[in-house]
Amino acid sequence: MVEDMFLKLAKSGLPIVGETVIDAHTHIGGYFNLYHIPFGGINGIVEQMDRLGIMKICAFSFSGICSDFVLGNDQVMYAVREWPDRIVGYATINANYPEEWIPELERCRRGGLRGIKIICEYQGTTTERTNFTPLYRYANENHLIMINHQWGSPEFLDSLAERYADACFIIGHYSTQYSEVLRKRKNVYQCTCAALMFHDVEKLLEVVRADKIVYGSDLADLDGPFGLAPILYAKIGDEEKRMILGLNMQKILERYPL
Amino acid sequence: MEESSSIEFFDSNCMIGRYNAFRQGSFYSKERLIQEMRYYGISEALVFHAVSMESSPRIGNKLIVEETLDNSFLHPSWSFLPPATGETDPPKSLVEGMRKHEIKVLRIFPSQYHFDLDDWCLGESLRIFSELRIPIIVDYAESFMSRVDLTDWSSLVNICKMYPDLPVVVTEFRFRTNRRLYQALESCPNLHVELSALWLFRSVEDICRRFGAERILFGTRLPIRDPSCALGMVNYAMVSEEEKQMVASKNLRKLMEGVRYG
Repeated sequence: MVEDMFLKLAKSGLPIVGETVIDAHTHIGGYFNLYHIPFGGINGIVEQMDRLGIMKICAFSFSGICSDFVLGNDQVMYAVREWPDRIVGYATINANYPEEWIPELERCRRGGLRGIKIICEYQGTTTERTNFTPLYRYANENHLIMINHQWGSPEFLDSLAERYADACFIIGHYSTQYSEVLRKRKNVYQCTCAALMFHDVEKLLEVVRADKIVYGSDLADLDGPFGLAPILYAKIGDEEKRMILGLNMQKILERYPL
Repeated sequence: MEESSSIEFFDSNCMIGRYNAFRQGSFYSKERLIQEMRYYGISEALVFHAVSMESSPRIGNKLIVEETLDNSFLHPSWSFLPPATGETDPPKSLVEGMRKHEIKVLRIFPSQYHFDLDDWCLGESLRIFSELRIPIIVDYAESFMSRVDLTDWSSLVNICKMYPDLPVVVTEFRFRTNRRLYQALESCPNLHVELSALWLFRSVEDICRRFGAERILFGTRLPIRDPSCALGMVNYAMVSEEEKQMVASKNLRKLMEGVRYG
């Protein structure tokens, strides 16, 4: 492979072919209170995945953010059944329904979902203020991936990652504040979503190893290329891009199987 | 749908000069802007000075002319304030200065400078700019880049309707409210949207489909934002090559060519 291959593809608007590209942070469901989602149905999403060359997406529901999370999980299970090779489904739980967390996670696992999405900032609380212990235990016992909108302080995430060492913790949004935790804990990963400020990707690589970073776009909330292009254009090596774009997430999915 | 290797990009949203919330690893000089434009494949840019956004349009306007004298691919844009305070020239004098320096686009920052985009505040200016078809970029972003949508849509739509010949371009740090944006685009044929504010899923395709490709202007908000976001949204949009080219450069060029200085 020639160096700058991904840059050339991006400048030409060509899909990435022959590479492992897995988007670690996406939303499906098509309806959201904050804004209208054009082409938001699952076919519209798969159409853009093909356009960009994304093999798989790790997906959770819009409804689970600030509406009925059970309805949202139903939508994700349906999508996984329809597109088993393209969609890795995660269950979303709502922080305000603690009594339903474990039964819902059991139901979702039976329905083929293999991870958990936490986004309690949209539910009136924070991860550090919420007692998610039953959820962490469940993820640990069942070797699940958890992706969180915000994990709180690095110290808080570090203590969770140590205590629940058999679960996988993905930092859902771009940040450079977790570099120490990422270096120290093999079960913690950083997502690139939404690396939108000037040279965010390059800055992340200055403090975090490429094998701890996974690509996430936030589609179909944000536009797919909006999240993909900062990696393709980044002034870093193609091998680093390859790891971030999919090889790292592929290893995570192998390490934390359904 | 076609690949985009031949797309020519004309950036409608670039800034030069020291700015308040400078982020380490970013830049503020013209020389670095040119260097980055080369890397990303952006051939021309409409630029304003950070001083115009953050302290004085009068001084910023002077600085941006000086900064762009020595090249033909950086096009200066000016800014103005409501005339009563005298901080910027009265509209007729401002236009004379614009004509002299070949300034084709104006940019206002209602949120940053705490004034209203309303006829009582800007009417005298907007009447003159409308007669001359001078495009106005209405930038509701603040220097600290608020994450909430600051755009005053009611005022924006009122102004667009009151001055239907005035080309208006709206931008922001991020539009989270495309229901308002779409309604405004539907209500106001003279309204355009700048791409760096549009982050939502398949927005380029959807706006092209509903309202036409002529309604979107390519912009990056360099050096604050990474230009790849906007470039990727154009290059990978599932629209025709002609529509991509309109968004990437033709629409801005057409607006600039439409100015009637006589």
